[in-house]
Amino acid sequence: MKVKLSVSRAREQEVRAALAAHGIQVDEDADLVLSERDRSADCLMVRDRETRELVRLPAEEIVSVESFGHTVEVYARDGVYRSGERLYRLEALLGPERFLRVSNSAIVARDKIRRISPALSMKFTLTMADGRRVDVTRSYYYIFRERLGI
Amino acid sequence: MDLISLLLPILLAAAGVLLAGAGYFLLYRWNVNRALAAPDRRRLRLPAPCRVLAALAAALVLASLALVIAQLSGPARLTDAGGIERDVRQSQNVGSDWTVEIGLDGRAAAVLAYDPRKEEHVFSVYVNDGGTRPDYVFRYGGKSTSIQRGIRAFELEGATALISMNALGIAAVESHGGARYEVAPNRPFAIVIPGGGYDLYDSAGDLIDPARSGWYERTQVR
Repeated sequence: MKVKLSVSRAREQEVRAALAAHGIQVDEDADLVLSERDRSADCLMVRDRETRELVRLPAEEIVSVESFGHTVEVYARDGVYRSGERLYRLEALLGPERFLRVSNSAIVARDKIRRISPALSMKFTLTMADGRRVDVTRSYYYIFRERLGI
Repeated sequence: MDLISLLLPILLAAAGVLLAGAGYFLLYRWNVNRALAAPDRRRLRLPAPCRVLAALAAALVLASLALVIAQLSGPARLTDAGGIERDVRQSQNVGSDWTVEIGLDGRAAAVLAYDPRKEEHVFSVYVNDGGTRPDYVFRYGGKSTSIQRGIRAFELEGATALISMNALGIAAVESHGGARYEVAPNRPFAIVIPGGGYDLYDSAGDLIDPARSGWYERTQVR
């Protein structure tokens, strides 16, 4: 049996040992996930878009996460990565304190927003730390305002 | 209805709405980015620019409608001889076979309506209240023995309205400023001349003293 771990670093070794004692292997590509309650992930396991190399990406380096069809791309300061997780799972993993859902296909890091450009209609365009622009759609307009207190 | 007086305030108001909308948009953007820079500070919550613009546009439409209704329901402005004649015929029950003489300048209008046999008449004096845009307002009217048998002068600032059935046979009026007005000696007339005095002449060029007829009346128009 294989499981994927989503626990804090402090408890990772303990959990790995416990699972190994019961013959359960830890695998990043496993279908089953063992996650710690009420915990935001410190990092994500992603694959480099170019080299396909598996990378442990710290959450504080993530600028935004966007989905394009079945593909989920993670934009960090130093490159672009791909995740096998669905967007709603990543939103839960990364935690609402640091990351905001701004559309059906995008999550942004709150502290990586550099500028907010409102439109005449109920939309915003966010300029992120890496220079990319992400739109806050009408559906998320009020949620976004509520979260930022504007 | 003056189209310019109707459209100009609406256009100015629309320009004001656009400026206000643009100003509010800039304020909203500034407020939003301040929240980004200092998330822990209390922030003024401003409504979305589209809602503010919609409210301003609705107010502009309502105000424009109110202005149009006020213009349409108000009394028609008298701006030219045609309008004045219509007003005289309607308000003084002038017969369709009566002749209407109108003398008009920028300050006043003198009107004399008389029957084909010149036995009956009605007169009217209008003063322009509109400044640069004509808007003649009725001031005097009715029948006058002075007009029937002599001449009547209505004196206002800078102009004099002369109305007469021309029983005196006046052929010309010359203002002391030098302007000369020819009239048919056997025909009633209503003219407006510059103020400052005038002389009357018959067809032979002789001076006529209207006071000698005993029917010379001067009225100061306020």
